[in-house]
Amino acid sequence: MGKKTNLVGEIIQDPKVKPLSPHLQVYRPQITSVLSITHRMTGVVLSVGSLGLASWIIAGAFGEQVFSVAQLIISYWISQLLLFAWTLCLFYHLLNGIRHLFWDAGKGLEISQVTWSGWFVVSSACVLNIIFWLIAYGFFAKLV
Amino acid sequence: MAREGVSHWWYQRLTAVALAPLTLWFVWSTIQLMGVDLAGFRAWLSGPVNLVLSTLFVCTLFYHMKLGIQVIIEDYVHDHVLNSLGLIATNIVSVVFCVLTVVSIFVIVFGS
Repeated sequence: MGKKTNLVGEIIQDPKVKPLSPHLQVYRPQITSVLSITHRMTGVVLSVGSLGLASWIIAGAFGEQVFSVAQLIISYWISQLLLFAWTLCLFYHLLNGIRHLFWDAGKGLEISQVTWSGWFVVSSACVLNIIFWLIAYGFFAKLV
Repeated sequence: MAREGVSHWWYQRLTAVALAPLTLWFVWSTIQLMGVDLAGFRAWLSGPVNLVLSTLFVCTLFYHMKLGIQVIIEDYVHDHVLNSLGLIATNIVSVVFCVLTVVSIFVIVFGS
């Protein structure tokens, strides 16, 4: 779109527009960078969800009727779906947070260890979330 | 503000360490509280361990949340006015929700 080019077709940069470094968009997504931003994104999701959770407790202070409305809202399938996503974020943020604490202690910083622990955190979060919801819906109780 | 970086970093970790076991306790508790009515919730909350841990969990959670959102705003919101407004809003929302939730816990347990 109307970019100035020189004689051999190279784009001439506007001298006022300085190139930025690093060029995030030219990097192939890697487990390290993707999990790093995921930690922040899950943090935001958890924050929003925490306000909802707090509202549930606050509803309890208004008495039986308000609390039963809150319980009804939570029981809707869309709420349950959101809660499923929220607990997945919770398990991920919890496990990856522990991974960060290990790094702060100077442990597990080799690239191979970072890659390994990254995949471990992702898979463990998924497994824990499924186990949590199976217990919540009384799946294991039915087996006994 | 200058010289706040170290304490911010330190409190972020401190609350994280506290939240790790508290979160596991919270997750376990929610399983027991699924679909319970207010009387059941009150009975559970009235146990001294649950009362203390709930209060600790809420306070630590909202403090950790405030520190985390603060970093995200500082890193990604470059507009000076929006940045300041975002930080102020984060502080207000965190404190208000923390106080409301803790007060509610005590109203549920000790209220009429």
